[in-house]
Amino acid sequence: MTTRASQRRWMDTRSGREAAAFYLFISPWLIGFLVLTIGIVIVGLLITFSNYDGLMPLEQVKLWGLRNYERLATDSKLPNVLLNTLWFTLVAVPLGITVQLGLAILLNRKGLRGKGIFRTLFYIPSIMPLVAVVIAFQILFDKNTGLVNAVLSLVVPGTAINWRLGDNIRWVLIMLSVWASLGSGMVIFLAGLQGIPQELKEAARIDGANGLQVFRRITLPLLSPVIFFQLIIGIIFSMQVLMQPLLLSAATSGYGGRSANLSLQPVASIYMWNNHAVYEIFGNGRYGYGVILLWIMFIFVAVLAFIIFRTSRYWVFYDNE
Amino acid sequence: MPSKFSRRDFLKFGTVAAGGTVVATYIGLPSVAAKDALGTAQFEGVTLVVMYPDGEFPQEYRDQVKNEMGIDIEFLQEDLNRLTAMWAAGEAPDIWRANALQIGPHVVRNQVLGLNDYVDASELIKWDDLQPAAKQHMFDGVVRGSGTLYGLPKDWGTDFLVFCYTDAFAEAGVDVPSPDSPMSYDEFFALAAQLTKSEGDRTLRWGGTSHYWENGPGPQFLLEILPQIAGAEALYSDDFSSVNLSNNPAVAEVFNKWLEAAKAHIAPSVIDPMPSWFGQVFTQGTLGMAQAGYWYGAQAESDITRDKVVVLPAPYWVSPETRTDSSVWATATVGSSRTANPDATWKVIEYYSGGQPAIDRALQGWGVPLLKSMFDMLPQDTPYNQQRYAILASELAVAERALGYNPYVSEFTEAASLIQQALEGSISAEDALSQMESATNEAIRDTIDRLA
Repeated sequence: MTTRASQRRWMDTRSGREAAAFYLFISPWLIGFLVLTIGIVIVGLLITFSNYDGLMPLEQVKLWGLRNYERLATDSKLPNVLLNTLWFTLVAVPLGITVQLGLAILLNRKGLRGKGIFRTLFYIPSIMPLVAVVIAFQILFDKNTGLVNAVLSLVVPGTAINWRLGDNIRWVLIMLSVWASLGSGMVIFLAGLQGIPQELKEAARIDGANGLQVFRRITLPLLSPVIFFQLIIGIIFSMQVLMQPLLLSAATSGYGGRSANLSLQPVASIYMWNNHAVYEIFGNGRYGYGVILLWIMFIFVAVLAFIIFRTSRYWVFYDNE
Repeated sequence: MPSKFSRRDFLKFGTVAAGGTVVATYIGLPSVAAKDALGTAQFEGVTLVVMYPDGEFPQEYRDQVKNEMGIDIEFLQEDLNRLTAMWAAGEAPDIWRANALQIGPHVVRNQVLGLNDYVDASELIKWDDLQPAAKQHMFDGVVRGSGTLYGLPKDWGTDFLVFCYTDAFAEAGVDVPSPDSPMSYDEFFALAAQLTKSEGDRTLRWGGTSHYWENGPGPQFLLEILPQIAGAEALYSDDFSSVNLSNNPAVAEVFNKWLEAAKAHIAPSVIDPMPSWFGQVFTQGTLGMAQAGYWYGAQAESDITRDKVVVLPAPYWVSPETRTDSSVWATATVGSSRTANPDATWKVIEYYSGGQPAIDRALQGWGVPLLKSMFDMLPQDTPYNQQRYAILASELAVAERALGYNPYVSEFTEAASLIQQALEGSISAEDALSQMESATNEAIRDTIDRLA
């Protein structure tokens, strides 16, 4: 009686009503998150202790102890896929940020005509379907009929580089990833640049600073929160890359002719951690082991993000500091 | 002040509502009518879930099933991911399609409906009218070729034919082999070398390839070729618990032939990839010979290759007498072992495999019909189709063998990756086979453990 009375009193207060409204409005998302995200994650964790192979009905699923975890010690592919993933992240993220920032700076120039058109053109890659983009890259980089080799042949006649193998396909993957993320990153940097007060730059120029000094001392520090955001997002997406290596590899004979499917192993030099996890699940039916690999990647990325957050105090400057 | 709705009131109301629902349900419950000699209303009220590509099981067939058998079809567009999820949830479709590589895993998990009793009693489907491809879906334990029939193949074909682009031969100054006498694989590779055209490091035309080499070297062509070689070791142990690739000279012989062809840029591979799948490259005129099934014949002609395609019988590895040309995929219609109405499930499978849909497919020429009695319905309206028909008719005589796929794994684990390394020279062909064997045996053991 006392509890109900005190609850009724709290609900009658303004903060009580506001809190109730808050929870009511977020409840659809919250329920969806709990059921469709947290719930799935917990089921995934349970699968790591089972013999589930994707085909068997639930009544045939048994607890398997730590057998799936023991495979971590014997999987010879892990060092290679981890190195590939780290290499891709270490190259694609800084390169992507640099290109996006460079384009944003170019578009932010005063008096630039056709700014809107350029902005639209540079954003188009971000909205193109990935499969269409990969097909276009296949055509461009084909060994025998591709435009890239045709242009290179003007310099070195008879050039027929096989872009779909070894280190070459790594660089094609990098180009594909940087190109695809161009527009969205550029728009974010552009918004950041336009948020920098012009008075600060003008004051610096009056004091004798040249363009480079203004960029280093004013623009970059004030842009650092945006760079920090792009860095975190870039690392998260790059460490979890999956479809680009799969699609690029599926285009290659000996792998393809077949359509890109999740049971395909990409070409060795672009065989990433998540590709390996998905191959173990859909190629080998090792659902438990594949989910373990996904969990490891989640923990790895979380730790990496935590470290970057901790270091941000030394190089990220916010307006209110 | 309004009276409160008490718990007693709630229970009273709930009981009345529940009772009313039960009565209404009972009255409305459809009854399965007794068997009707004409087949109409035989399965009135039965609904079956069918998962198939929409174009292969169109609405007109579903309407015909409803009108003639009283069965409602709840149609689902084919989606392997959805099928997997449905199996996990215990809600598998009643009918779906599975090829010869896919059926084995279902059989060892007791997921598919045995059809022997139904075929025994069927008026449409007769045992002696079944084409050899049906053997791909017959299992005696885990060994296929005899025993219980689990699926009825639809548009199948002999899958090792060779499609030749005659302009490539003319440019090379080489005669197209006669379709009347099969060539050897040695002749195939020698011809392919002559047909290959290059300009520096650029390959302008590949001499020849196989659908089974291009898709990542799998067991298909080994299972076809090995039995032709006298004394060749079997690919799998008798119980399919292991694969023998490394201590198998015949396997090494076959792999090395293809590796050498790829290294010489005669056949496409990861070191000299085609811009698209072999089918499109052939129709562009940049592939001299393509080994594929009868099904490809419907697509082989393009504006470039029209009237310039000759179909040859499957090559032989040792002698024409040991030659075979089996079906690789033999995609079939299968029923679930957990269907609530196996009789109705069979009726739809029977209709699709031997009724109007089968006749329609035969007339369109997409593949060989399941039933021998429908073979003559295949199109022979053009010289090209007449040639295809003649080759097919002769190939059926060597299409008896059921390829013995392993029911625990459908591919050689890591094959594409290891072949790539062998082609690049970072490992030898023997090492590639040895590692492939280890990885595949591990995958087989894993599957057997999980099913234990």
